[in-house]
Amino acid sequence: MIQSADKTIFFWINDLAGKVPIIDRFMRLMGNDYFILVCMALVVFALWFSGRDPEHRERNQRAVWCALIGAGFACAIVAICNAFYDRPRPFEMYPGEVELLFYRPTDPSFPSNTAATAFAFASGIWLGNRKVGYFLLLPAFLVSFARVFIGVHYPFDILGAALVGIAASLGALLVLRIFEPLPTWILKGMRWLYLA
Amino acid sequence: MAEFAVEYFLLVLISCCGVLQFVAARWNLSGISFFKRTTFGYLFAALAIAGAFSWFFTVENRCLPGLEGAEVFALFIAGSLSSFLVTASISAVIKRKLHLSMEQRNPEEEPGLDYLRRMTYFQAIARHFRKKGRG
Repeated sequence: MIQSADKTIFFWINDLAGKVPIIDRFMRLMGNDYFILVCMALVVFALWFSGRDPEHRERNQRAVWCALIGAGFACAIVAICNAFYDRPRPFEMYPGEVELLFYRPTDPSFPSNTAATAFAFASGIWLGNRKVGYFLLLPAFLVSFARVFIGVHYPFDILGAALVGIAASLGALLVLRIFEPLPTWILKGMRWLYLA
Repeated sequence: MAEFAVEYFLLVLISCCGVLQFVAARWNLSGISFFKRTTFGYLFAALAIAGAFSWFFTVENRCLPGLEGAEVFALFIAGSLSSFLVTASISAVIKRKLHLSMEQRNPEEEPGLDYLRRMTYFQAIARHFRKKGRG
């Protein structure tokens, strides 16, 4: 039932590929391993230096910690999932039926590593700065949609990745709270070096 | 692969320099800004980021298997730290006359990025160690 729904939604989206060359190029760029993630990382980098006063900036910097640690946790969870569940990619399951606009990744399909990292960034920042967090959800959804469009993931790989990303950033927040006052000391040390 | 890593590092380095000029203009961090007018800071940021991305994604086909996640992360950290050093060095040369007058100094003020509103990064570091030296 779930697999059938997954397949149906996948083909709804993937059938849109290969029709309008400019849209294909745009989606290939959005679904690229680097474009959206580097853009999101640049926003996170900017947030580190942003704030009208030291308190505001410290809240932003704690959000940056949360996003970075969350992204690390998300990658680790994806690696563990990949070790236990090797779901074939859509182009391997339905050869000749999938409009593939990308190279053929060799790692398992579930969950999407790119989408998990993007959602970990967005939700990690959201926990400390709602406005920027909502803003980052947009590229996270965009990269997720693009990965299905270009034929390298099923929608459920994305859904799983979003859950992994959100859980990872919540885990990061928990870890930061457990290890308090260590994060405060590190921030203070960076402030002494005029880096925070 | 090494060539790809160098290109990715340059993408991060140049675009992070742009981001730093943007935050310097937005939050009035004169000590790491290359310009007196904020408009020029925003313009430099837009050009650096757009230029770096256009170059990286048009010079080669990037829809190919590339770096591992850990390599991407390490290169991003290295690129962003290098961009801060490059920005601090260039702004230290351009803004070498920017400094706190004796009247403005508040010895009780906590160190941090706020100092970069009034002095360059290396002036802030030098002041910090001078203060520590005095005990």
